[in-house]
Amino acid sequence: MEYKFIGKEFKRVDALSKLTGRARFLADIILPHMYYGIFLRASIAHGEILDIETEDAKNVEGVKAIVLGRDFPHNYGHLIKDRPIFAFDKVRYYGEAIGGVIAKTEEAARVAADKVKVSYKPLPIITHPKESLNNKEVIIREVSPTPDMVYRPVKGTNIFHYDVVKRGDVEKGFEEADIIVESEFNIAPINHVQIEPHGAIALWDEDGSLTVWSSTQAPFTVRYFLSDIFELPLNKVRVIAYYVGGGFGGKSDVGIEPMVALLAKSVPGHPVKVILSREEVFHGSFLRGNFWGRVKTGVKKDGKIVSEKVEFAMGGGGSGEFGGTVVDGAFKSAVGPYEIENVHAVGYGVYTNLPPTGAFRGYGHPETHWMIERQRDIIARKLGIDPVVLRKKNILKPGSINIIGQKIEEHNGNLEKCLDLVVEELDWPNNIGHIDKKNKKAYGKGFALLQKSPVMPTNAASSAILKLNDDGTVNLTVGTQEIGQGIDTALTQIAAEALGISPEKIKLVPYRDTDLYPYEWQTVASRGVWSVGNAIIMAADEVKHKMRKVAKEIFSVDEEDIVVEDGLVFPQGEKEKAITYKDLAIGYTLPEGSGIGGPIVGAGYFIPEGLVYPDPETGQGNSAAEWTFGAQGVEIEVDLITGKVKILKAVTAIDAGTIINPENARGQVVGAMAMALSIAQREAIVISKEGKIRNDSLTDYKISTIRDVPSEYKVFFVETEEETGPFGARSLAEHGMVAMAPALANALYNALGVEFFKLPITFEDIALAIDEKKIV
Amino acid sequence: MKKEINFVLNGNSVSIEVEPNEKLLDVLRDKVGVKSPKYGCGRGECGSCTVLLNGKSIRSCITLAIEVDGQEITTLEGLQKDGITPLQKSFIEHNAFQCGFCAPGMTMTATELLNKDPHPDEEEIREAIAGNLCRCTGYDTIVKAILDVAEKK
Repeated sequence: MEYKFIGKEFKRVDALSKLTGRARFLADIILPHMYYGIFLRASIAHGEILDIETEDAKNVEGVKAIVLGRDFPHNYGHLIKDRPIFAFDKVRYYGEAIGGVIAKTEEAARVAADKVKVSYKPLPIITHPKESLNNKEVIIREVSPTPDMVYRPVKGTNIFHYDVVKRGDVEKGFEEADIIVESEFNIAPINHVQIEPHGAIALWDEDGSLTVWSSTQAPFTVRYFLSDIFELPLNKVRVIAYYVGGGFGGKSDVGIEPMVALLAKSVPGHPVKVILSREEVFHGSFLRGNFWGRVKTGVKKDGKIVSEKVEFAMGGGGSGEFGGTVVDGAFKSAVGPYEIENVHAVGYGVYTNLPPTGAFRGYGHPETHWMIERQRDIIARKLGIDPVVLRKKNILKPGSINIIGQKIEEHNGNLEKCLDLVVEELDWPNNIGHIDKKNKKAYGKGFALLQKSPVMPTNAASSAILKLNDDGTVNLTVGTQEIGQGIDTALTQIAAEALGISPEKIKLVPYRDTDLYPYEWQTVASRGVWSVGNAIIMAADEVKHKMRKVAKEIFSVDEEDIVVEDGLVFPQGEKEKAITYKDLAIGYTLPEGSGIGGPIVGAGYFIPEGLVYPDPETGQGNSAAEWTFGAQGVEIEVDLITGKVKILKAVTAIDAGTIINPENARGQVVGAMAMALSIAQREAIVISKEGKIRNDSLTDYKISTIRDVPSEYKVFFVETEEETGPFGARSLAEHGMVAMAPALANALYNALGVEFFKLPITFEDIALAIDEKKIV
Repeated sequence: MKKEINFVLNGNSVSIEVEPNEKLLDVLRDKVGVKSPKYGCGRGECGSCTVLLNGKSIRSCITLAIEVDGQEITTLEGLQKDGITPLQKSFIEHNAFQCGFCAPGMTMTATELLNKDPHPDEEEIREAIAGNLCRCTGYDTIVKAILDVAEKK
């Protein structure tokens, strides 16, 4: 379809404020009478808290209060209630907060915090998910299932949640197969490394109401938890959020806000501010947990996959509340974007003595695709067929049934086209890999496929408000958050298209405030454009409807004969009589002087209709909204002496439906590719045998610099219009993360003939493999 | 043991009392109210706090405030006194930011580079900003934005 403002170039609405340094971030906020807080953190990874000695700390000049977990022994959660605000009975990971000090200055709070003495009874630790899954001696947290609990903990184990998919009969499938391929995979835990550290400011008013300023992707979820924990009505909790300096999921789960709110409760009338140090971001926010899994696949000689059994466990850290839903996300993509008759997949969330797992861009999908897209190449090699051919024999196409029993429709997208675009860009199957012994280099190409749908509750809702101003401009408010993804810009374009006026006339009001802005579930799951976009279209319809109602009086015609188009309102066929939005914005004055109508406001909402909970025994059911499909690939050069890998080219082809803003959409995909390759090549949280994170700084936990990223990025958009999306758009922000790691490992095999089964694949790992295989 | 220091900040003289262990970043942000330099790591690893000291880029998070006594500091606020610079325009034009948190530091480092050498090539640009971390963009639009200014100069 042809659009006026959709798919067109339009510069980001936050550009000027961000590039002049005027954009507001949480740490910039200084309030009158403000105090500062420092958290007290556990110095062991697992143990009972015996005693906490605070006398010396209290005597430090400037100290206002010391708050401990035992003062408010409460576990919160929506799905399992297993997250303490501050640990009170035992600590479950190194650096877990057990309380905090409030003082007039940050320095005084820090000095006092150092004087608090804690004694523990240490307990054995478990950090690996596979070990935790099989362990019945070291129970990190006892949780008994209750009828209202959404998760499914298994009593007497460290399992706090699990999901199952069952289709057909895998054992029968394995009998019918010509070959069986079994592989086991691992992924290290990682941190989001948003450049802006987490933080919050909390203020309790004398009337008992609570205001929290936070760098959050989910102001309304923060509000919900604060209201639940402190037993306040929602309209007595106000959450204000400025721009988020990088989220990637790591600021969507609710961790720091209840902690700061609890500190501030002891000093009503004084805002308390806490900004985490970089070290604390590693110990005290959320991680993408470590991952273990195994896959057993039964395949016919011609490449048809007949049966697949998948088992995986995700390390959840000391609390499962925000990690169990990652399992819920992963299990829907347990076998990737393929149609397989017989599937049995089980995914577990297990407690570990590490910081809690939360959302991370891709939400379980990079993990399952790491296994599945490696497995596909391994299968193709065993059968001696091209991995493109193998995939094409099994991929989801219109008419296919995916593993949760959904029938794929035409409008869901064209995965095959994405695959074709990527392999064409890679000039597959020519020169897929070779070793240049003379120059001590190896070259390889690899690719992988991806799918993802938004992982969210079945009722994840959005809303939007459009307000006409008396000069014909429009203010738009939404509850979804600008975290760098460009949502404010995309939604401005959607509003412009829906209202028929130029995007320059629309101001999406920056920053968010739960008292003033309409409800939004969360800014996660790549669902913003899709979900809020739909709400804006509904709001625009209401604006137009209200204008028609006034215009029919002005022109003395029926309402359905009024045309609202391109900023003009006129009776059908009489465009010369047109009045403008400006004339109607705050009410219309008739020639004799009397007013009609009134200030025009349109409100809209969206909820994904028709989603149901998956069947607990089989995982079947319409539990996933719109799917986005894609393919990714890399071309690499390996230095055979050092193991260093240079990414010569990184490619993604993605069917994200209609692209709202091509430049920003490309930015999302490129940024995701770079992040995924950084993770795949160099990121791992290193844990000592005592359970301490050893690389809690950017000196020791390296993310890619400009020196490490691909020399060239290629992005292709296939635009199959999404039936349920605004102007045919669907999700794309996370997807560039999903299949890069297996594409890289597949390229490494083609370059070196070495199979890698764990992430990251560091230069050291590669150098050791080259040495072991005597390649040089 | 406070000490008064005097320095020129974005062309204006500043006189302020600081503790000997106070970091320049904290003084700029919390005492002077200049907010464009950001805290990202506190160790000079991420580059978000980059400011210019007598025209050379430094990490204000690992610089003591007393060290800048009698010297000249420039932040992003100082660069744009007469409107946004061609470099800032180019960052907008090339979409060279997403969350925006690293942008001030990135701009300061690129400004130093372009002051030193108005026509750097891509390799020199990559070398210059290798100490400024960006988690959002994958850097390619940042290189293009700087290169574009270098080519137009």
